[in-house]
Amino acid sequence: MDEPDAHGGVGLLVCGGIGRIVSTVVRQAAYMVAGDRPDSVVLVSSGSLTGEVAEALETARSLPLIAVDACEERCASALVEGRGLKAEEIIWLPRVSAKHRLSIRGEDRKGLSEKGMRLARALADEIIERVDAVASGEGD
Amino acid sequence: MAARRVCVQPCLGINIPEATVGRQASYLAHEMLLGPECSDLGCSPALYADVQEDVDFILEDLVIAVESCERACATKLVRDKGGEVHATIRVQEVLAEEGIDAAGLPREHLELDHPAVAAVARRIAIEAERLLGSE
Repeated sequence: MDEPDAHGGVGLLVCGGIGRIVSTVVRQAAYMVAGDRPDSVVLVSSGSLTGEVAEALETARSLPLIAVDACEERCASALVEGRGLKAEEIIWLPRVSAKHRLSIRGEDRKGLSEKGMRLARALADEIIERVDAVASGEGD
Repeated sequence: MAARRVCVQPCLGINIPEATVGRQASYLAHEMLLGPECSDLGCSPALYADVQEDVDFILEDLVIAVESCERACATKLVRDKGGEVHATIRVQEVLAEEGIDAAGLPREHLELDHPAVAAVARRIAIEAERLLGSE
């Protein structure tokens, strides 16, 4: 199964797509966040939500949720809306890219080089700020 | 009439290594073994969000679902969106047949030349060629 045990904390839903480089960036950022906050973050699988897996839906509903969209299609937001979820925060990768002036031109969707991983790290740090705020009850 | 194409549609889970195997194998099958001339790469979140390109893939192509676990999320999504799944590759079954222990694989990333990725990609390509050959 692709659903972890929901042990409290914050749910993190990234678009998890496959077609674009930006999807690879948000996916790698999700793993960085999970590694840096193993006790406070649960990765919510977009694949499981598309498949309407009950455990994934329950996890997403029972935890404060942070969603990350990788591109203008905003598929993570579509999942939040379509599955009747509530997101505490929705982060948009291109805004993070512009803010930190980190380009990913030339990167490969099949695997990121250091250039792509720098943007993933910047996104992960932004997500962690929100995670820590939400986990401590300081979220908006 | 245009020649049929194959849509490789992985489940795109994030929590288990089998999902990463399926994801990377889908890239390998689509980009290198089959080629973009006769295959498309379906994106589940985009299909859920009704992105036109992905809707077109499942309505026009011969769809191969690549499932990383028994939940079969890719299959369910394709059917929910009005498409048909013509073949299914079950990553866990392929790995078991190849003697590869998924528990020893990282979920973060696998290179395309990893034996697990290559094995699943080969199965996708075999199914694709079978489907295209029967058209």
